[in-house]
Amino acid sequence: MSHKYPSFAAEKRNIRLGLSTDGFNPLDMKNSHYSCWPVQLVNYNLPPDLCMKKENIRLTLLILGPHQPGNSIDIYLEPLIDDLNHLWNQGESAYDALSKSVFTLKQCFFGLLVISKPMEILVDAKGRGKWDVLYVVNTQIVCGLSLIESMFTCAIERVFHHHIGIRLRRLGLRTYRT
Amino acid sequence: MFDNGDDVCETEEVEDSREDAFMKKLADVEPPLYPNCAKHSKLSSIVSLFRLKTHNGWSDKSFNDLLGTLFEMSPDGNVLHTSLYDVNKFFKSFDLGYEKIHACINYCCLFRKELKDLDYCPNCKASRWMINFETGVVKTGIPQKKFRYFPIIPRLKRMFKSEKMAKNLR
Repeated sequence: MSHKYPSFAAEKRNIRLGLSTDGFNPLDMKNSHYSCWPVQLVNYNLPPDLCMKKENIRLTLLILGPHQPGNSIDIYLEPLIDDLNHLWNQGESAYDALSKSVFTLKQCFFGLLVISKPMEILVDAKGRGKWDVLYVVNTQIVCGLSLIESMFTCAIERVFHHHIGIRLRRLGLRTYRT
Repeated sequence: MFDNGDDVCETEEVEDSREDAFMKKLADVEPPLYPNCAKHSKLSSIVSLFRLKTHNGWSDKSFNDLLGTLFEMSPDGNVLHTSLYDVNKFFKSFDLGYEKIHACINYCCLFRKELKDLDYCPNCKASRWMINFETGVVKTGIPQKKFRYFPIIPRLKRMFKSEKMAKNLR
């Protein structure tokens, strides 16, 4: 990521996000007439010890209905993807309280958290379930990582500005190419 | 990353004015809960009450009733909200609300932007509104499918407004 988009990596305040979803039954396992699908975003800019805390995981979509959305979840993600695209292309000016200045906030999509079967449907990556997180750059799956690896590789990438593949190999982590 | 100088000045001015508006809003809710109350302001009282509600899973009805009673118990001249509806409206003014978006029953499209005022899906011609199966009456205003979207841009921007969070984010 840093290698491919150096201008993005130059601004440390740009945000890297991970997306995750899973469905659950809000009432009872026996009652199959209700389903609830929250879609969450994880902020990889935070230090690894904070970024998976529940107060830092933010809910962006709440899909309720009698049946689970399955493959059709794509259509529900439309407003979210619009906003993410806007943040990636144009950016949004934001006020920074620490340096007391205004800057252009951008985001990139760092990873998709594939912890459950439904997420595999979402990224059309069925049968690759051995990874917790797919490292994604511009909708291209680059490699699969475990949850812990994803937190640390993002931190490494942000600090050292190295190409992630090289770093991963040097660290002896598994890499996965599509 | 930044555009030329003029643009930066302009966006900074816009952002400054927005910042001022936010600060003004924050100052509006700073007065004490009731005259001579040292510990709680309007904002802190409602935030701490709402936190208790969410952490302990209080039902909406019980919280609504509690607010009504608390209002009566507090000294005269207090600025407490009297209903959950008021509280939700109050939070919405801080960009922390959500949007309800209607969707086509067959997952063709969302009724937003240019499709906002349509009654039928342009693709599969399915009705946007609920239909009574027995009488065939279309219940305009009640959508067949809807979901909630919590806009992320104001939330991401808000994170940088807190000094502690802004430090963590770099």
